[in-house]
Amino acid sequence: MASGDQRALLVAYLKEGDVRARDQLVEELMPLVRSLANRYAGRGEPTEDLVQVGAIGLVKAIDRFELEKGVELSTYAVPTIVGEIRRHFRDRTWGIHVPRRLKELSMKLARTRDELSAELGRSPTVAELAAAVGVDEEEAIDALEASKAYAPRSLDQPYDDDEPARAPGLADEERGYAALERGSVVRQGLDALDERERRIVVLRFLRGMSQSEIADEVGISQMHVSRLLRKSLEAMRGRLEEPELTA
Amino acid sequence: MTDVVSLTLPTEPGWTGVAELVLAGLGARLDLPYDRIDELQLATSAVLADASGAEVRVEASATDDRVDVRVGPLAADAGDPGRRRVLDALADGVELGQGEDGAMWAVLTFARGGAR
Repeated sequence: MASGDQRALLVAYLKEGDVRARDQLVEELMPLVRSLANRYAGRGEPTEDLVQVGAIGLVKAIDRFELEKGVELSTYAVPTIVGEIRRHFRDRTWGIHVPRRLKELSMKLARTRDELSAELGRSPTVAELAAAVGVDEEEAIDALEASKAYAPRSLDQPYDDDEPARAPGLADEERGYAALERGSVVRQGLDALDERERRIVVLRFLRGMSQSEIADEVGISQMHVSRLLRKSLEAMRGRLEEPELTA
Repeated sequence: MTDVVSLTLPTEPGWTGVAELVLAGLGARLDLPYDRIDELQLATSAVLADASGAEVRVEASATDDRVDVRVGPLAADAGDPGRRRVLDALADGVELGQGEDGAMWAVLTFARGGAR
């Protein structure tokens, strides 16, 4: 594509707000995004995800492009695209180095854990999990603990791609926490949580439901419930320890 | 038969994982369902966050049907009703009281075949 064409499209979008011109620019520059994403392939994140993230970087670059600077869009966009891909790795990957085999085993255990929970009507034991995936118990514990090093971008982010990012029904108003004493420490802490976290905390700590039951009710995996509970307690604790609240 | 494991850890968040790993091993020996192991770890890490002083001790004893985890010394407000409510929901038994050292200690009990 000639740079003159790119410039005309940029003028059409940035000066006249022609969104189709931006779409065309994105389409024309996707091969660049793909080639940059490919450089980061094989590091534990699906290449297609990296392409998507890179495309966000491209759109940002187009939006921020300054016609007066006189640089090529492709030159200008590269650092933004790469920055977005790197941010993705920083935010949504394993917080510490975890060997690939352990990551794969951990994902497999997460799926097996949900399957066995459904089959047995209760959470499986480590021995049952280990037998189901064909590893010994120590390896299973290693992998289950390693999965805690996985840092999703936000609490709404699924642990793996099998779960919807937001389960249906989460927007339902949850009134249960009103049952807590007015002004109690937990009640104050609940304010630090978003609606779904609050709901899960209420179901676990006030209704006394098990993690498996909550997983069924909310429509996410048990491991995800565990993760949300842990994060919620940390968030509540952070809130509780703000001096103005504990004073 | 009782298996006893004692840990003395620096009171810094990074060390909580060591206690959690050991508890996962104990829970697995007892054949606790994994969500109970998870909550054993969660409750213990919640108590560990209330540790006072430079070091905290975790003493876990496992019999055929239960794991008791004793953690301390803890800050004086470790037993406030809000925190207590969370621990009560996670563990089959929670005891908070003064230890021989005069500081607050917590004992969490997780039973095989516990309510949750």
